[in-house]
Amino acid sequence: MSVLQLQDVRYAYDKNKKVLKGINAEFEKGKLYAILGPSGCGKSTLLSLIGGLDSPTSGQVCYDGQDIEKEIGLSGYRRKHIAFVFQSYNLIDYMTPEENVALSSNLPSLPLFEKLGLTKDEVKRNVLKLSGGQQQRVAIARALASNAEILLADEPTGNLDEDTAAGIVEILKDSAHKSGKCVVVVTHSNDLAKQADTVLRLKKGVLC
Amino acid sequence: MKGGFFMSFVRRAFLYVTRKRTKTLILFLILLVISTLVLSGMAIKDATETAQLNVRQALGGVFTLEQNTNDSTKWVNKEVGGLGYQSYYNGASLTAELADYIMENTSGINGYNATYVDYAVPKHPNGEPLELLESDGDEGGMNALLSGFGDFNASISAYASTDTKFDSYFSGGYIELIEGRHLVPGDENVGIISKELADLNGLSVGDILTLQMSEYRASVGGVDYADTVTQIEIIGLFQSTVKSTTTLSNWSMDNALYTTLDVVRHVRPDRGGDGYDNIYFYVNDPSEMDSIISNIRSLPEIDPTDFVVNVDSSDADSVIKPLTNMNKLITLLIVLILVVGAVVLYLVLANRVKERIHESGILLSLGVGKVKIIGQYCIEVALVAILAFGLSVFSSGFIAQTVGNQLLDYTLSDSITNTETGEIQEYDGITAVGSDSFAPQFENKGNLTNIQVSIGSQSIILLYIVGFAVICISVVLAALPMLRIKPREILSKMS
Repeated sequence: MSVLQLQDVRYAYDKNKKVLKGINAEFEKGKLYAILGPSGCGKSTLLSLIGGLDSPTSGQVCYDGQDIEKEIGLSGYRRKHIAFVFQSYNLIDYMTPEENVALSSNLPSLPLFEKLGLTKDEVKRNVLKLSGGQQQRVAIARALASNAEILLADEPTGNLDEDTAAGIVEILKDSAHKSGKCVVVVTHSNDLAKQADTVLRLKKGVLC
Repeated sequence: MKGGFFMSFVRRAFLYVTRKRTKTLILFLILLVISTLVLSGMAIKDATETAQLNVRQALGGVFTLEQNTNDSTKWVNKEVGGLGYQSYYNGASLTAELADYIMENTSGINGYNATYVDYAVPKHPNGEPLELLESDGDEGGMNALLSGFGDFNASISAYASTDTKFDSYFSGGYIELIEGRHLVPGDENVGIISKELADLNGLSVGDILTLQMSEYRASVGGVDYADTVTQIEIIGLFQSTVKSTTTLSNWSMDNALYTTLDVVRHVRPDRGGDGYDNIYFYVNDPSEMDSIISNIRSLPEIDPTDFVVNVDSSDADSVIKPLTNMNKLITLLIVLILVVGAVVLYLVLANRVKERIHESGILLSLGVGKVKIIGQYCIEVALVAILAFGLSVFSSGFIAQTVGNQLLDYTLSDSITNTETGEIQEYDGITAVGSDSFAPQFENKGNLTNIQVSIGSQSIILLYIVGFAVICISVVLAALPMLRIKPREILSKMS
């Protein structure tokens, strides 16, 4: 059964710039979805609408059949059901990895960090003193620690080298297949898309 | 489903303040400067207001009741030892009972002192005159001229008082009681002398001295000299706080005696009348002076043909005027500092919030509400402000005192000046030009307008309340753009 439903979702910056032209889709728990498409086709916009960071011009984004804006509330929806992983990590720069994770969970984060390959010392450093790969692991740790059912990742491997990127993809796959999360990844990487359970291609504002 | 657990915004604020030390230090310094200026201004304003009140209480919080001597029908002549006649006013007397009547029928009066001054010779119980202190002032050779007047040079000023606590010299701070107690209503045969005079003659509190009419004056007035002797127990010692001068050295303040009316009247039976010269009333609030006087004038016992009520506020007004002007200037400065401080603080905080749009976007994407984000920013500034405001209590204390002292100098430069009327006056048979030349002339007393600048708890509380209000308003105003835009726009901007 789907956890997320998109019903005729449209989005336009203005009358002449329509980005999404009626998106219909459903997303299930335990699956990894990849949204592919060229730059500027609206992938990140679609992810923002799914994540409740923005509202569609028309149409509905529903969680378990409830409109996320009208029935749940966007802030509450993000807080309770959504976890983001961004290409630029988006960590709070005056905090340590531990403290960044504490922003979304009060559970002990060390086992999670160890699972993601970060040492005890590294999790107590300022995040700016970590490498790009380590910072992305912290961002993923923050998303996983939140225990949200839906994990949204926007180009999560875009800034990483191949080996690190491969490690991140494994974590995302495990999150879907082992932890039962609904993982939606926006990417232009065919390699990443190949490992997804479902690939959705966004072309000229519609999914195909 | 997520549990909705988040690091509290207070903890986030604490982390930011402790980790971003340079930014915290800059904000701390800005808040310290603004709060120091505001608190200094408030302290100086309080000090000038206190100084105005002090001056009003010292110079303007007193009025006198005197006999109305304008009615010539109430003047009588008294023969003086077959040498001629002396005129004296024989109208209704100023008595302690009259003063008590006024006190009972008028609210707002703190106390009174009825006074009468005359001149007599203080002696040891064995009849030996007390050794008197020499005045440092220019006596114009008067003492030398009077050397042929028998024991006249041994006479002193004897002030009859009902309550020396309210004597104008004591209450004005020109002299102060340092041992024993004040004269109070009901006292009999007691007195207060200066510590210097007591030391010179080996006297102390509890000792006995006598007061007697000058033998020379008694012979001139045809008075039985032996009958005028009166015993006095010393109950207190005073000392002068500022220098004073008199035309006659023996009538100086340091040789003076405070005693009761019965004693002075007994010692000088040659004088006409039986009451006091003046009754000084001290009001609680000088601003109520007009209504109090109006009430007294309406009392049935206060017949305007017998008594007059006088208020002289010229001294107080001359001192208060520069203080009032300074107070207005300080008020204007405080308003200016508050406005400029608020604008500077707003600009600094607005820039701070703008710089942190990235962080706001991250927190919004995590589901943190906008109110909690703004709350974090407010708490951050409040944490720094608590320390800055606290330190400003000390820094402003120093600055305010320095400025306050300059204000004091400015005030004193325009302070009281004694006026000589040039009128011919007669005291106990001695005639001189200059109305006040026989009474002690005190130098300007510094502490009359002494400005004690201190940071009051009310000012501190006000600083914290207004300061936090300005901080919260500034943060909210600065964060308004963030409140209006959607999280995605913030995230788009930061990417």
